[in-house]
Amino acid sequence: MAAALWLALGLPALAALAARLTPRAAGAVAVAGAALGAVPAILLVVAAAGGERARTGFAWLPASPELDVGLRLDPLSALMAVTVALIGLVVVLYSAGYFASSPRRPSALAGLLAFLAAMQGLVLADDFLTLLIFWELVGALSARLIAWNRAEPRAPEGAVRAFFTTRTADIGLYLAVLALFAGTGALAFGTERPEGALGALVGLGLVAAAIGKSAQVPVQNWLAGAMRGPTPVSALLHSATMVAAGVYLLVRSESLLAGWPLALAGWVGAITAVVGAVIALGENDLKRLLAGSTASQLGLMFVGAAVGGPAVAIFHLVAHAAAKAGLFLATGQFQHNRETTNLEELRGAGRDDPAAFACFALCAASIAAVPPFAAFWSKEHIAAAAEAEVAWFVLVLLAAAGSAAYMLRPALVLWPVGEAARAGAARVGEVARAGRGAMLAGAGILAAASAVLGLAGEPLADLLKGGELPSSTLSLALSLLALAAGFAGAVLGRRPARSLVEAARRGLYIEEAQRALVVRPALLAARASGRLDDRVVDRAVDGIARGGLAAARRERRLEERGIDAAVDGLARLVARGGQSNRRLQTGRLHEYLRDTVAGLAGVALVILVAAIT
Amino acid sequence: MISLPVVLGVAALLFAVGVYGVLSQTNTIMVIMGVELMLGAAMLNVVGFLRYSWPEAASGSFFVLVIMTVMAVEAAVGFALVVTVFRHRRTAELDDLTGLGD
Repeated sequence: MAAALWLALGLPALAALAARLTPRAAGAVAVAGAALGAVPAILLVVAAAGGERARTGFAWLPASPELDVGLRLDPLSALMAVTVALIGLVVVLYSAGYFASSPRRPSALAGLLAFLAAMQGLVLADDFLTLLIFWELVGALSARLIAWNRAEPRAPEGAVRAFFTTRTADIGLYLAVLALFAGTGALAFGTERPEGALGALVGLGLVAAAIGKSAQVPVQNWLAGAMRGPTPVSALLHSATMVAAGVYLLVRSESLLAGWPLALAGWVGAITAVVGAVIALGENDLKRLLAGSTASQLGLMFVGAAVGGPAVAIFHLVAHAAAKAGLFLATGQFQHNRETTNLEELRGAGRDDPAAFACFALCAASIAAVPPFAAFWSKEHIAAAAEAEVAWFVLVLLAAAGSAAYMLRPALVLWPVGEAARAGAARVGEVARAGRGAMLAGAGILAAASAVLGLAGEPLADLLKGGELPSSTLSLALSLLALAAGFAGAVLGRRPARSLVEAARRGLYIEEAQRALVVRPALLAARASGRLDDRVVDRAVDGIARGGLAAARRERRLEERGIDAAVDGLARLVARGGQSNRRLQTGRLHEYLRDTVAGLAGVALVILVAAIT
Repeated sequence: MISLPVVLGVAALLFAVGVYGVLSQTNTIMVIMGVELMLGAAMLNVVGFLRYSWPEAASGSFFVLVIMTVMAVEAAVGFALVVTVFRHRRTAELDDLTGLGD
């Protein structure tokens, strides 16, 4: 199985390279690569179901055997790997169509595949060192994907914000890993949290890293900024990869987080579930609405990880991944048709493109927790598990009502009931026709998955040894009530209070708070240090420069007086010699002859003297 | 046969007469003739040494013949120059011909 582990991560990476090198056939190469990459992932999950466990790796530092880099096969890693691989395959298939008319298609497809490879490494990692390496790779490659669209002037901003937010939270992971190593001397999964301050650092750091990657309160805003990326990228980032990494980290390090860190994660998740729902209710852009929804659903997963255990959280992760990816893929279809994601301008877009709308509706029903779709079951388990903690239970039910409302609202806009279809309204455009088959196929597969994945709960729990999935009549009844309330609110067109909507649009003023508490002080400090720089450092540097100039000038004067004077003197000497020689030149032949004879006589004398002596 | 010192002595005498002529005469033609005398002295030396060192070698005689031809050419050119200068300046005195000094 070791080969399958390496292949699951290596094949997408190779496919990324191949897609880049064969620009003409990039679409086929990328889809083939993603499909081949899914094969070892499926083999892994089959092997894991058969009870097989495997580890493979090599020494990172030969001198420290505890610092190994390796991959592992266990139920959790296999399940995550197969989710990532299959969602990735569908998104790549869709992207081959989505980017059909873009000259930079190979770059986009290669970026998606490379990102998939990094994510596979993250979920298959055997210890915290390997996890950290791929964690960083996922962050860096996601920024590249978000910034892919050069025509979108605000894409780099979104990419930088996503990168910096997750990067800042990653400091927590670094601290946690270092503290873990200091406390236990190893980086393996499944150890106990060390005692005292080191243990606190491990707990806080891991939760902070999960919050950052999964866009929980208070840093949920990077997710909306990441919407500037192409829609398939959003689909991938928001479903099985990137944001899922935070939940995966919580589940993977459950033994390290037992106690207050998990409670902290649960509180953050419960609050984010409601905050995200409010944001989604207030947004007027379909993609940003879905971003708010993602934060909310991930908050529910945090609650599930805190009270329900791995199986509850991972079940919701899988169900949400399929539905959310499907929603984004359908949204991309509408975006191609109308060239916008603004909800008002998309009015009636579903009626123009019924196939895409059908996919959208199925996935939205799943997210809204309409029985019997997948997310209904997974959310019900979370609610049942949260019953033990009344505050979380209330927040989860509020989020459930919110999700019902914020999913019905765009559906009603896309297919306005009771409004006649506009005559001559925009049909499927020229741009949209290219690659339409691949796009619809991708969205359709995910919609079908959203419809049937509800059956996967029990086998999944068996696989993860999570025991019985929690379930109760009370939570079931209250969930259905919340669903009905949410739908009623959306149908009646009751929007939340204007101030709430405004707050949601501004990310609940969390961004403003961050700006006031972090950005402005940082800018002030920067300006102060800039002034210090101007006044003290620059002056010193200027002084040094002035000193250098003065020294140079002195040097020059020395040169003029010394070296130049010597050269001039030599020239004068030669000139004087020439002047005096000129006097010999009289033109009288007799004088020349006299001098010649005298010279010859002198030479003869010398020879004579030499001969005698 | 005349001995070598005698030949060398005659040549030295001839050379001295030539030097005296070059230094004492003021007429250009006389100076040129002094130069000819010195060349003749040098030639006499060459012939003398050849005769006593390599009596069988014919190349020395040819060398002397070449020098004699050069002397004749030189005298002809020199005299032609002097005649031309005389026509222009109405004088052939060396001390009047100092135009190269300026």
